[in-house]
Amino acid sequence: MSERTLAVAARVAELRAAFDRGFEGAPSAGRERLTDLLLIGVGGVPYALRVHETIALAGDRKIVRVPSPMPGLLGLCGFRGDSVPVFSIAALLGHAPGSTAWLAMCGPRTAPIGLAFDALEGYASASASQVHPLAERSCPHLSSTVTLEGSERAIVDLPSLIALIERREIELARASQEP
Amino acid sequence: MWTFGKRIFAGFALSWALLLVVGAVSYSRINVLASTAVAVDHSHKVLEHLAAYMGALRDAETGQRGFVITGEENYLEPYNAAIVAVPRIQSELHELVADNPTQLARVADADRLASSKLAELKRTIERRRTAGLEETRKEITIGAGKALMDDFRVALSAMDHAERETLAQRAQDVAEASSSSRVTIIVGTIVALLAVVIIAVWLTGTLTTRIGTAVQHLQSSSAELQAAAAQQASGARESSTAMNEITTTINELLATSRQIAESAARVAQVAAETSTASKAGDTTAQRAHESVGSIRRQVDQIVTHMLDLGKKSQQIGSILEIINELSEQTNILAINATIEAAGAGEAGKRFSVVAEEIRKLADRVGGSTKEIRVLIEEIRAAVNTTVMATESGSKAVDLGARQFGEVTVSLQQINALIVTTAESAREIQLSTKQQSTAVEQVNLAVSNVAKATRENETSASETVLTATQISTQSRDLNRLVRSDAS
Repeated sequence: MSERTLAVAARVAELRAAFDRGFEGAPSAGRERLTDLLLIGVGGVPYALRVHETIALAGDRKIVRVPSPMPGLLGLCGFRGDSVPVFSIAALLGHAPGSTAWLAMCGPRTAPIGLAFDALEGYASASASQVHPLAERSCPHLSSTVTLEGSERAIVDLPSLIALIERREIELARASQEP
Repeated sequence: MWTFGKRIFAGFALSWALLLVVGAVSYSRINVLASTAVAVDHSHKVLEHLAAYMGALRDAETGQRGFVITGEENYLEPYNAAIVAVPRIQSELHELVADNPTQLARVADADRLASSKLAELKRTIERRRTAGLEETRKEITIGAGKALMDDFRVALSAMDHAERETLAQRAQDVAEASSSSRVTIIVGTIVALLAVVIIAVWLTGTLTTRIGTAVQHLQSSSAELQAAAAQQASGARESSTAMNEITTTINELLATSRQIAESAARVAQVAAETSTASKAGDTTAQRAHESVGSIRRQVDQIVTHMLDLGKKSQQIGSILEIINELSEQTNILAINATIEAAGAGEAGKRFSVVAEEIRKLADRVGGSTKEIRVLIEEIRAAVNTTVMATESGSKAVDLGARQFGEVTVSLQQINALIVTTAESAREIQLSTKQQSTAVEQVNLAVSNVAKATRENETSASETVLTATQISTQSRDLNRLVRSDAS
């Protein structure tokens, strides 16, 4: 038996053990202390999204462009039977507009908003010790960072982006109502 | 062009012709003179026989008269002698006048009269014996005998007269022939002498001029011959020296030819050994060619298998793309399940565990898929590299096969060339041996030529001496020919 075959067999055994361990403890044991993160890329810059701040993740959705004075609005897409506005995270964070391969659905479930980003790099769970608040906040939507495997990436504050979008909607609505 | 010989021959021929004419005319005249003398002698004989004829009958008549008168038998001796002589004289006279019909008729007439006279004499003699003197005298007195004798005399006189006329004519002919002969001899001799003198003067003048000119030419030619002979002698000496050098060179060439023959023999031997080695190499190359062909077929099979492997790996990659897509969708589904579980609060915690594990599995599947993709890419790269290397190897094998084929052909050509070289070497060996033989013959010929050259040199020296002598003699001859040349 070759060395590579032995390594694969050991890995299979490790995976099986890890899978079994996932069901050994109580469902909530140790889960509260970790923050689940979606590792994304926006304009070539790594970011992270908190999973609990999203309501769904979608890929390769058809986005229908609509004319709008709303900054960062890419268009509309279908989500669970409704039309959902889609905004570009890159535009909202001040990057150059990128691709719209992935959508992170945020906001209230009754009126979700789609935030498009370039790449889904992975899924990670970070402990509290791995999450640090930013000392100097150059962007109001980036409040903290997470250190994963030696590299650091900013965590996008999705509620802050939602609030920004809502504020702009209100401002546009007011601007449209003013003579 | 009249040559000296022709001129001299013409001069002597003309003189000879004149002498011949003079001689012929003189001979003719002498012949006429001789024949005339014979005719004169013949006439004299005829006259003598006529006189004898007349004398015989006169003797017979004398004897008859003496016997008649005396009656004694001894007086008949003249008669008896005439009886014997008359037939002989008649016969000789007939022969002498046989060429003259007139005289021949007269002789016949005289013979008839002589026979009658002799018969009358015989009858009277018998009468005297039988009848006596008187009776005989009476019969004689009749005169018959006298008449016959007179007629006989007349006949002979006529013959004598005619013969003497002929004799006189022939004597005149002799005189004329003699005179003509003298005139011919004198005139012919004078003409011949004049002709000889003229020819001698003409030949002397002509030959003196021509011989003088020729002698002068001979003198100048002898001088030129002397110079040429001197040059020939000098050239012969140089040729002799050159022949010696050629002999030395030919000896060296002979030695070189022998060395070439030995070298050619060695080359032929080496070519034969090389041919054997080349044939062995050809066999080895053909085996190697066959091996290369087998390798080429195996390489083609390897390429086919590797291409199949590449296709299979592409199929695996396609399937892996499906698996990866499924794992990503599973991951998204798991993430969404996690999100939904988190949104479900406490009730979704157990489901969140399941979703978490599903997401992890999806992650692991994705990770494994990436690893597999990397491996497949590595396999594909390795396959591509192997295919390319194999194709390169196949091309190299093809090239090697072609090169082996070319090597085989080249070896065969080399073998053929070696065979040709061996044959050429043998031909060179044979030719060189023949050349050595030829060079030996040339050496011998050159030695003979050198000997001939030395002899030629000697001959040239002798020619120089001879030319000098000819020049001296030509000057002397010129002085002899032309008195004014001195």
